[in-house]
This record gives sequence, C-alpha cells and structure tokens, in this order.
Amino acid sequence: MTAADEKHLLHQAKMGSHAAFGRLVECHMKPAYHVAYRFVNDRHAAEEIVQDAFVRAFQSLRSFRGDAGFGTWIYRIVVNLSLNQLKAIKRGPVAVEFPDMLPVGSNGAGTRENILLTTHLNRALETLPALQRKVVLLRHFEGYSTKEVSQIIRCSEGTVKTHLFRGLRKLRRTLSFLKEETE
Amino acid sequence: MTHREAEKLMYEYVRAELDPGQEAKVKRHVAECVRCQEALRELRELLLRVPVESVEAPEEDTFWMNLHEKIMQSTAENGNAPGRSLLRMIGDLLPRPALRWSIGTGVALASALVLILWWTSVHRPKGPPVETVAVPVRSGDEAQRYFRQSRSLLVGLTNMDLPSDAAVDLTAEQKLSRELVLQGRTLQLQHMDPGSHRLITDLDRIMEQVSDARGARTQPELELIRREIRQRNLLIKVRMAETTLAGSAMLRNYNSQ
Repeated sequence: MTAADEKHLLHQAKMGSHAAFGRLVECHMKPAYHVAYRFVNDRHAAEEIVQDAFVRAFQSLRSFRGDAGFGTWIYRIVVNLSLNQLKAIKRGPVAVEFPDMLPVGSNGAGTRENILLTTHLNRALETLPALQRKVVLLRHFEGYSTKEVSQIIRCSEGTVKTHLFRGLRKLRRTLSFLKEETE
Repeated sequence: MTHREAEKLMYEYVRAELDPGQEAKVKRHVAECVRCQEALRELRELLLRVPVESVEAPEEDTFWMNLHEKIMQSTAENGNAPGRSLLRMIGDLLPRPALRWSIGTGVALASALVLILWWTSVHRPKGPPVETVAVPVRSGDEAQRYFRQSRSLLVGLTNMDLPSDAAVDLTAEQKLSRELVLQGRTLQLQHMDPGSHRLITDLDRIMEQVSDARGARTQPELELIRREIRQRNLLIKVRMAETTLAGSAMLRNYNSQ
C-alpha cells in the first residue's frame, strides 16, 4: 500500500468508515503482531495487545494528526502496551538465572542449542531498561531504520543510536557466559 | 571524533550501513582508541553469536483471519465511531468569541422553544396508536448469506488435504459454487457499494474455476485455485464484508426499534 493510499484510507476511517479501518488493520496487523511478540514472547498475549492497540487507535483516530504514518503510530501503541503488560506481570527487577552453560554450535534453526540461545536471549533482554529494550528490539531484531525507531518511540535519532549501543553492550555482558563456554 | 560519537555509529559501522565519509571517520578513531577497539570487538562478537531469528509467527491464514475479525469486532463494540463531533464542528465555524456568545444565546433560546413544543405535544390527548410495519431488508440478508457460504467454501478449499497421487473429488464444492455464482450475480444487479461489487467479481472468478464441468481435480489445479485465494486475500476480505454487513444489520435493527 502506498503512502497516498494509506492517507486516503485514514481519511475515510476518520469519517467513520469501518471498512477503511479494516483495510488499515489488514496491512499493519502482521508487523504489529511481530513487534508485540518480540516483547512478550507469548502468542496469546501478543494477540491481545495487537487487538487492544487497534481498538485504542480506532477510538483516537480523531486526534491522530498524521505527522507520522499510521504504522508508526500503531507500533508505538503496541510497544507501550507490551511494556505495560510486562510491567504488570513482573514488578521490580528480573532475576536472571542461567541453569547451565550453553554450548554454541551451528546456527541451524530449531536445534536444541538455538532454542536455548533464544531462551537466554529473551531473559537477557528482560534485564535491559525499557528504552534500551525498545530500541534493541525494534532496530536490531525487527529491522526498523534508526529514523523509524525514533518516530515510533518519539525520541531523536541520536538517542536511538546511543541506547542501541548501550543496550547491545549490556546484552553482550549478560550473555558473556556463551563466550566462556566456547573458549 | 569523540568516544560518544564513535559509539553512536558503531552498530551501523559493523553492519556496513554508514556512508563512506562516516565510515572512514569511525575507522580512523577506532584505529587510535583502545576503548573503542574493545567495544567494536564485543559488538561484532555479539552480533555473530546472536542471530536475528524471525518471530515464531503463525503462517496459517485462519490465524490472521481470526485476528482481523477479532479486531474488527472489538472496534465495533468498544470503539467510539470516529468523525468530528457536532459541537466541535460548530465551534470551528464560529469566528470570534463575541459572536460565539450571541449565537450561543440564540441556540439556547431555540432549544428552550423546542423543549416547550415537545412538552405540549407529549401531554396532548393521545389518538389511536399508529401501526408500524417492519420491512425486512432482503438484499442485506442475501448478501450476508452469500458471504457466509462463500467463506465456508474458501475455508474448505484452503484446508483440504491434497493427496499428491490422486484426483480430489469436488462434487459438493462444485454444486455450492454454481449456486454462489448465481447468487453473486443477482446481488451485483442490486444497489451495491463498489468494494462489495469488486469482491463478488473476484469470488465469482474462483467459483467459476471450482465449478468447472469436471467432477475431480488434480492437486496442482487445486493448488492454483488456493494460491489465487491467498494472493487476493479473499478470506480476509469476505470476513470484512461479513463484519460490515453485520454492523449495518445491527444499526438497522437499532433504528427500527
């Protein structure tokens, strides 16, 4: 969908067209789900977050000025709802426990090593401060550009770059046992 | 270049996403700075060890279709219909505060007059009750039924097990397809919005393929039909049409009460 098409649909949706809003949902629900899943790691929770995000977007369509794209706006809502969900589940700092040393072998998807690696990575991500986690997940794991991330989380591109570097450095240190195991 | 500037560009440097000028600056700084050399080594190591895997997202159409339906239902139930409020639109039309006061007073007086008229009409002696007749909107019901049956057919075709070595018996699907072709064309003759008209045309193309004279289909033939259903997002569109029609029906019922 082109930006012009999206703008047109958005205008129709603002005028009350439920079908136009349905088209916007159709275009953005998959990436929105991916973002939510990255944060909460749970299929049902991600589904609920996406659903909630679109309902909120629909309720606030009138106030949406369209400075950024509809996608940027909806991903911002998804990110905030995901973090709220995590906060609700876990209050206070997360205790990270690594049960055993992880042998890092081939990168074949679906192997026991990779499943373990994903588990450890998710736990390590949970230890990052909210802003760093947002930036690392969106920029590195979801592949959004620095500019897009800055629009989604409403900060400067410089802030995105700084928090990306710090977040990744912290991840590297949290996951340093991976390196020790292979040496 | 300072440490802080170099750190900001480090990620893009490792991924070779910087323009040549910036890349050269970072390279020069790193060559002279032990701290940044260490940071760069750590970052490279992390990116090598932690592959970016795609999210374990469901592939099946039914998941996305259901999610879409849930969202649309939630917005229909919980979302306040957008559109500009009457008060705001009136407010925007009024240019100056002084004028707003005078118009406001006028509106208040007019409202009071309407209230008095309503009061007198309510307390007037009542005549015999006026009989109302509920007129069913047939085309809406027919369209709902058409989309519901089309959805069942598409879901059946999409989820059907395909034996690679034997032909698939589609007698029941063909019968339904022929009926739906007729229903769809009848609906298109009635007053329809352009979106629904286009959707029925797309569905008609699929139904025509399914209701081909032969009774059985080979696996590749059926796969072609399925691909067209997927490429045109027909299941999602049919769900959307159903949701929209259900919303209109609810509105009709509400208004007729």
